Amino acid sequence: MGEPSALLHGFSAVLSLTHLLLMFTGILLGLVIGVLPGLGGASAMAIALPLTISLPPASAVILISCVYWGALFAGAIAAILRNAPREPWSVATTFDGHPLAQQGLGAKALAAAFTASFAGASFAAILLTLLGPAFASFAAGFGPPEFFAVYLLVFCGFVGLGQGSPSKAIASMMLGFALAVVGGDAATGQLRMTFGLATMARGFDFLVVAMGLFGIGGVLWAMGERPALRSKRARMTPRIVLQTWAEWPRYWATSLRGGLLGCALGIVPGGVTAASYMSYAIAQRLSVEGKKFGSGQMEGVVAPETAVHAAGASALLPVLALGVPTTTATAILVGGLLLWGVQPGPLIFVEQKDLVWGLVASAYLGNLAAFMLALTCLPLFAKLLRVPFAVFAPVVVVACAIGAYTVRHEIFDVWLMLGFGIVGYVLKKLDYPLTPLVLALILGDRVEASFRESMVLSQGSPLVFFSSGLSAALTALALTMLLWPLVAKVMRAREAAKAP
Amino acid sequence: MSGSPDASRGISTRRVEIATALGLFCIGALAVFDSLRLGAAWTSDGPPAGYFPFYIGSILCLCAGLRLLRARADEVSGPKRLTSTAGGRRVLRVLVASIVYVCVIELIGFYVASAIYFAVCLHGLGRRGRAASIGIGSAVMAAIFLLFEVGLAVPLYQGLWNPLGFLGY
Repeated sequence: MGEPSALLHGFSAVLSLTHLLLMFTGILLGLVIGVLPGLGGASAMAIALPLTISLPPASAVILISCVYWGALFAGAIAAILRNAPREPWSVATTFDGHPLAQQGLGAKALAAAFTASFAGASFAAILLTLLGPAFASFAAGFGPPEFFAVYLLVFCGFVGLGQGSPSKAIASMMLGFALAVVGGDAATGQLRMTFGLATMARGFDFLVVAMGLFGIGGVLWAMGERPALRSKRARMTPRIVLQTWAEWPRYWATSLRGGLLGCALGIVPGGVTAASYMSYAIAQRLSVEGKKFGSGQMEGVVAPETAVHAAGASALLPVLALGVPTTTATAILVGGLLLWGVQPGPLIFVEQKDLVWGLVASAYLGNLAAFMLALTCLPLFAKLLRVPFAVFAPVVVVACAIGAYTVRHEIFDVWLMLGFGIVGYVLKKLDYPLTPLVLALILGDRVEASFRESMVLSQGSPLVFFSSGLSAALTALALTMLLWPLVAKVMRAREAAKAP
Repeated sequence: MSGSPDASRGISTRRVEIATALGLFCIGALAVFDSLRLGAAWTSDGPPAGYFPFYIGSILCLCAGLRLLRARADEVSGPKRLTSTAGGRRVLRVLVASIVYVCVIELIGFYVASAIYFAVCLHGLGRRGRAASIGIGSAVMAAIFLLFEVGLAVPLYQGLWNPLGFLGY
């Protein structure tokens, strides 16, 4: 079955009544949770995952991916109307989006943001359709050293490309790996880090940890900060939408650049945020109105939003081709695949055609539906911004408690989830990045397996990671990224010393 | 991060940084300790069970040590206070309410405990009227029951004393 017919099959699967219902449920969940403070796409996906336990994998993936699309659209609403970005990649949208809302052009800014988002996601979905199978068939030839080198590159990427402290990023990922090794060792069958406790023998389930870190942690954060409830009003009318679309040809170059940049950066760790800032900066430099950026330029909204959605959708490429997530949301998607009994990796295109093409089709249809819902139900989501968070807090706590329980039907997991909520709150307040932690917890077993298999191949020599051209290049790039913050610091110190 | 007027008072970021670094160091040390018990050195059979966790624990100890040194030297970035006193109180209130909620789940199960938790939170934190809070709590309980017990066929914990036992569930 070629890609076009497989994609058509995916479309027909998504267009069934049950899947359409799941699609709209997912998008609504994503849009609602996505606008709430302290939460975001990852929290929305973690909260929705327990609902998929009794669903077939092909249906579950549609629900979860649509939560993701919905949450991505929700980011623009909070950023533009309230100047309160829910995710780091929405910050660039506030630069011109909020000034537009202050000038009474909030609805127009949102119409442009939603259109840009849809354009970016569609662009990346086309790329996913064309490149996904080719990437997967290329990755099918990878051995353990190549896989370990890819994992190393992803984790070192968080250190080299991350915005915060490198030691905090490394500590966060090591904590994730330490949690992943708790329980039975797959290779030897020995129990590790259980210290004789029976409850520890089963290890830490990623869903329990993710709901604690993002769900409860997010609630505690939002309650502590108590964000202001001031938000600009926006009344979306068909006239405003049509007017924005009529002006769209003016932004085609900005939108195309954002889409390309997003697709390229979406596959690397931290790439979504980088894409939003870079797209904004390039648009500012190339625009004839560049000097007016920051005071309410529509191009300043279109540029980051196209890039963010293109990056968000293209982040699915490494997941489908390699089984390697690079963002928190895609890490939760990988955790979901494992929960549904699907092994992510290059063979997924062969073994789980319905699931993969359903996911790709949902990237087209889910984004279209999210676009329409965001445009038509904007007043409802804008109203949510003015409701005190204390009203939503119990909903999230109850959803997380039920979710944690349904994983293994153990109340102990609910306590564990609460504990990770406190950990998540503290780490978030101290600027420890949570994505490497979750990624390490989910990928821990596979990283260890590829590391051990590689070392067995070489009888304990780490030079195995330089044995083939590909693994050598990936390992060298990974090590460069790991050392980059140190090199940059030395360079900055030298420049400062030279300066008079 | 905190924009509250009493942001000058509250929990010190530096202290929490130190406590977090110490906690991470302990986890790393536990990983190293357990790896040494299982065997962390290369053997003729290949890597033993403690081979990989040994490196993880060691790197975690190293990073935590670095964070500890930074925090002790007061090189903490960001605000001096982790949260204002009022913010800390709000966090604690939600946290205590959630802990009590899970204790109540243990006793009377998810459905009734969730209804009570909702009503109490809406009334206490959300400043909603008593009748509205009880009404919303009951509606949420019915929704959770219908979704999980009936719709998804995923039975939730009924507690040591099941108040909904008379329904046949």
